[in-house]
Amino acid sequence: MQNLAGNQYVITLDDDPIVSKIIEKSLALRSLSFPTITEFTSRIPTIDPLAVFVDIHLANDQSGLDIVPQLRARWPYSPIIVITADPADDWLVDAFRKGADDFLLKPIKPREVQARFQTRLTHLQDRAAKSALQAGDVSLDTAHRVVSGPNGRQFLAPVETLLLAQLIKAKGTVVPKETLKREAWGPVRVSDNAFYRKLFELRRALEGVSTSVKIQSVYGAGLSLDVQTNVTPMLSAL
Amino acid sequence: MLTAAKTPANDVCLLDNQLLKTLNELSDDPSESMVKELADLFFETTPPLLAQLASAVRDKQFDVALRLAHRLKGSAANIGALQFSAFCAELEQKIKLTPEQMCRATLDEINSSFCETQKEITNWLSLYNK
Repeated sequence: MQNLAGNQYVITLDDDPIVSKIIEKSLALRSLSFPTITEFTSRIPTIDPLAVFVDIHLANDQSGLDIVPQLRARWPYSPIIVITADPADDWLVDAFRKGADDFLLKPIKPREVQARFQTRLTHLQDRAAKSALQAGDVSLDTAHRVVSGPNGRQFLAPVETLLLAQLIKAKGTVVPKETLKREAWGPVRVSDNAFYRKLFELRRALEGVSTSVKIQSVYGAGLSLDVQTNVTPMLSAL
Repeated sequence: MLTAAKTPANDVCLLDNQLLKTLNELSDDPSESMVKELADLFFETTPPLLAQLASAVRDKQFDVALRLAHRLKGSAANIGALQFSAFCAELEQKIKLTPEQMCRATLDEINSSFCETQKEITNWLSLYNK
């Protein structure tokens, strides 16, 4: 992923190179420019931008809006700002429905670029901070469904993410099995067999990232998250 | 050349001097002009698009012409070429109505406005850099 500190950048999807140049200079950040959706799509797996600027009307009758849902899913906390030359553009409504955060009208005005970028970035970073849960040396990113710890990171299934989030929020207290089922599957009735299968997968993922955070079964009561802290007894000081 | 009746675009200023000034202030290095950088891109990318636009109007490929007029309108607006952008917007509207004669007349206005814009931006740069 190319988003190292000091190497941050934004993406501009626009067939007009002037737009990318103005955005780059306005934000004093590098702008990777793509004229077509095809060229952009092939690079998505390897990049991690601070924000994406998408022109609605692209060359060859392509619409930048077609890619917005994919970008939203991939980068939930990177602002997606659409660009259009028409103030009365009906496409704007569609853009917001598809996950865009804001819009810019052509001509692109540098101060407006700065203001919208900063506002949206701050807002989404606040949301990102709220979606991160921590237990000992393990952290769970609920938006990306990633659990990480000193030994690495693992992607979780949606149900596994919900189960772990509930256990972390319970802060070591025992959560009844039925409560966990309700939180993770909603109103759907789930067999114990399916529940324990998911639990097995979640335990395996946790083992892959940390040795100090474990899911404990409390017979007849439910489950809890056991966080072992390394407390060194200071006996010599007594 | 077909002569066009005077339209609202004829009354629009050729350049947005305030926007050009703002763009130039974005340069990190005072010896480098941001407007020059953008103008070079604009002068390089516009003539091929104008040629494609003329072909599209001639061949009555109005969907292609509409897209190109829209693209040129946005590009011109970004560099403060107000009148050129206004003519492109006018062409966009006319294409939607598809009277070929009117489109060709506006196309001539667009070409002439582009030449004027090139001259004016070049003048602006020489004055600004003094």
